[in-house]
Amino acid sequence: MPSPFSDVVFWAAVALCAVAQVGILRPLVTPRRGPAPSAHVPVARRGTEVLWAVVPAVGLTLLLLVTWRAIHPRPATGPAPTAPALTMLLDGAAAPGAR
Amino acid sequence: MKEVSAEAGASAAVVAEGAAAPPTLLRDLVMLTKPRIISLLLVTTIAPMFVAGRPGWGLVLVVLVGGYLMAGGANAVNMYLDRDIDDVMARTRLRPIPSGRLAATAVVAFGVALATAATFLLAHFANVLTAALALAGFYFYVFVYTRWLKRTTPQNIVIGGAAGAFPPLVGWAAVTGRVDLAAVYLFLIVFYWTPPHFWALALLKQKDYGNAGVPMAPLVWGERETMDQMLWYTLILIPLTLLPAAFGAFGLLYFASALALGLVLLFGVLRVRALERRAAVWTKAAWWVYKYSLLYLALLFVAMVVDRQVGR
Repeated sequence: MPSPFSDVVFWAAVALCAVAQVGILRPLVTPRRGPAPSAHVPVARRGTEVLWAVVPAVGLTLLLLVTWRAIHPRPATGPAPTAPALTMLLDGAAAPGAR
Repeated sequence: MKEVSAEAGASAAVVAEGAAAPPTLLRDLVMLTKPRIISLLLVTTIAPMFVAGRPGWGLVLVVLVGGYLMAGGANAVNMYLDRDIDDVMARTRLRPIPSGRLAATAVVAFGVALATAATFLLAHFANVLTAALALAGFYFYVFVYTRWLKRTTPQNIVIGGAAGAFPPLVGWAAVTGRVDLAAVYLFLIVFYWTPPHFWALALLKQKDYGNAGVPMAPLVWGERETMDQMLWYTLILIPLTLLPAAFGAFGLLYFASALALGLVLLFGVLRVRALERRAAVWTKAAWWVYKYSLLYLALLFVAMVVDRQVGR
């Protein structure tokens, strides 16, 4: 896939993810506008709910950073890597057999 | 009012588990493994194997059997841990423990035995990483989702969704012996697919979950907020399915398929949301999202395989 198209896909994805992430987090940090929770079920602490929502957001951010480096790999410099799988992930190289 | 109509709609479409045929021991043991749920897990396990490389049929069989045993073991232990609430939910009260056909201790022993057999099978005939990832999925489902989150937070489906996202890693690791960026994407695709999929069902089964004291999103956040959250997670899911094409893991055939499949899912979620806002009956639309999301995930993984096979 040509690089300009990859960039368009990447930045469109970043924009969508950012908007959606705000949508996910907003009701957790602002006063609830919906009906009161059902009396039958336990209600978690607000802080815990926010934490559980933030963890995937952090993971998503890291993934987008690694993806950017996969789309725009830097020329290899320095000593050869010792842990291929981990280095591949951190350096953002494409998957094996990638076209 | 909507809850009642949701119940009626869902009841018409879903027969309580185990109601179809007279129970036998073998049928009960199979039921403990939740075979219908596992079938989709196996698609998301086996398809990545053909994306990652060219696995032999022996390895595919090992991963198929090992994956079934591990997921089946997790489901059996889940039925043991949830035996108290299964008894009060219409959907689950015919399961072997609440109906008194199997002893709880026998069920948990069965589940642990299946997981142990799966670990040995995968470690011996595939590789240790594959077995470790499958076992991690087992532990995550049993302890993090079932034991910890399910009854304490409406985020149970979000975080617990990670348990169902391990199968692609298992399949990938069986072929390559490692986990890399494309495999992480497959994990996250299943992870972000889970909330809109499961919350569609939760919207229809609110009364059941309320009776069981499980804090599913619609009971805590309300229906409208749950539908909004389904939309936000779908809006993350779609770009996540497209990005692997951007860094070269897949080609245009997959990209076009993922985009089309994702837009249909988005349309379904928006329809549920729009109907609720117009105070119209949204239960059929929610049921459609639940069923289509199953098809969506299967077709998405098939598209990955086809794309890679065509591109080779």
